[in-house]
Amino acid sequence: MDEAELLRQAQHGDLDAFNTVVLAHQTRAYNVALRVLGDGEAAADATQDAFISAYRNLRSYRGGSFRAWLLRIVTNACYDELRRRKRRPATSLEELAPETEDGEPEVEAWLATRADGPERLSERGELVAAIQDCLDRLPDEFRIVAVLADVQGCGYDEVAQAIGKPLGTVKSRLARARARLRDCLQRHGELLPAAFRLQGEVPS
Amino acid sequence: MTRLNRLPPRDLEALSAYADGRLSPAERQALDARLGSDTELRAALDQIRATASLLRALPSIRPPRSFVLSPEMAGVRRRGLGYPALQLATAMATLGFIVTLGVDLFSFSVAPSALRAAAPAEEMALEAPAAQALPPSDAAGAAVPEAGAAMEAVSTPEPGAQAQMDALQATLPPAPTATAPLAPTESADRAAPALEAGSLTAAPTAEGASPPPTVESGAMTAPACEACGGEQPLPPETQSEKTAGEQATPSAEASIESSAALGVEGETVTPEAYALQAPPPLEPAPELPPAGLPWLRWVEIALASTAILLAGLTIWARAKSQ
Repeated sequence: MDEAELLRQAQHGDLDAFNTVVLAHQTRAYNVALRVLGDGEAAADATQDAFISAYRNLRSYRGGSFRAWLLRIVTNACYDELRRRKRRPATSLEELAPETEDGEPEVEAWLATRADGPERLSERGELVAAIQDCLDRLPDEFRIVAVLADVQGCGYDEVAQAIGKPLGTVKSRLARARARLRDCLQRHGELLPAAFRLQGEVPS
Repeated sequence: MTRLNRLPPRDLEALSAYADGRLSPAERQALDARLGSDTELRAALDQIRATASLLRALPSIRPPRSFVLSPEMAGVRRRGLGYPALQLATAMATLGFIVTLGVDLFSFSVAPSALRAAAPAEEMALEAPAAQALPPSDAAGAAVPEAGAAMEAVSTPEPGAQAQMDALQATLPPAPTATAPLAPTESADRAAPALEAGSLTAAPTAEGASPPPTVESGAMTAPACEACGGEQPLPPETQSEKTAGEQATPSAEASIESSAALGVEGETVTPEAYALQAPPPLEPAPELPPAGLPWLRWVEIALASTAILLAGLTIWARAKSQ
């Protein structure tokens, strides 16, 4: 059964149909929240909130890209969590620890990293931690755009729909986010792939 | 080393969009020309591409749990409405039980004085037989809440009904007397004076018998409200009284009609109200009170078990919602 039909049934109260859609989208939704919030537990809560909210507001979905519609709800759930944190800024360092060390990578990624051997695995974990650290340092609105466009590979239009802003805003925020990330990652030079390092060193 | 942040914002945006293939053909051509000559711009483009590909290479993490919705998650709102409704129902059932119990206990303690109050009224006027004659038919209507049953009770040559007919034929003012026995036992003291007033005033003017009925309905109001916590049972009774008062013609058909109306109305009356009507512990019908009181017991048992069941459901609903 295709997604549109499942969503139609879900709109008429079929929870099983909606849960089939949840299963198809939950990994992406969780990873968006994870990279935006930098915290696995908060990301899981935000993802769950987003799916509950999506089910309750399913009638406001009127066709089009369900993924973009859902990403908007996930984005809003992340903004809610970020606002909560600002009111109560007691985030511990453990909460910002790298995700790959306690979280499980997807099967292919896991196989790939295991094939690299223990040293490469650890290096890779550090690189992921460095990227997440640089993402965390971005302003919220830049980080969300960077996660959607670059981490998730969403198109500009989808990102615009998800954050509820015009295309021009997406373009400019993404450019600034990339520039800041580049400057931040430069400080973790030894972790970066050779190509990245070389490019950074050529002009100097 | 190139600092991307030092690039003019316009160039940065153009390079970023160029990397994603989002420039218009004209913009793209213009930037291509500049990239051919400007090595720093080309280095900046490479850095943007490298940064984007680094982010894209972040591993996808498997969620720690499934986010499939349980019915509880999906239906919180519906249960949110059900819980207050359960609370209200529990409170109503408990209140009903307490009131019924109170009426039951009260009727026991008041019964003797009601008998004493009824006795002088009986002696005073000719209508007294009618006053006592109606309870049987009324009680029959309550016990078997069908108009037919009430009619039968009146038309069959029962001693009570016969007495009523006689009384109706003999005396003009049946309206106030007909309503007098309807008043529950605790208002018997107030009903007695009303009987007096009726026997005095209603005799000359049958149509003018409205003041006593209003007194009656006033006496009725308090117990009816107590019993049911609502005003539903009240209108039928007061209305039937009024119709009885308006049709105060000295004919037996009128009384049959009015008692039939009482029987019909009796269908809509709640069990508590039946219980109230049922036990008129007046002398001429001594066999009826024992038949009426167990009714009250049954109502008490039913209300108590309903209240306990609802309370259990309410607690369960609250535990589930947390």
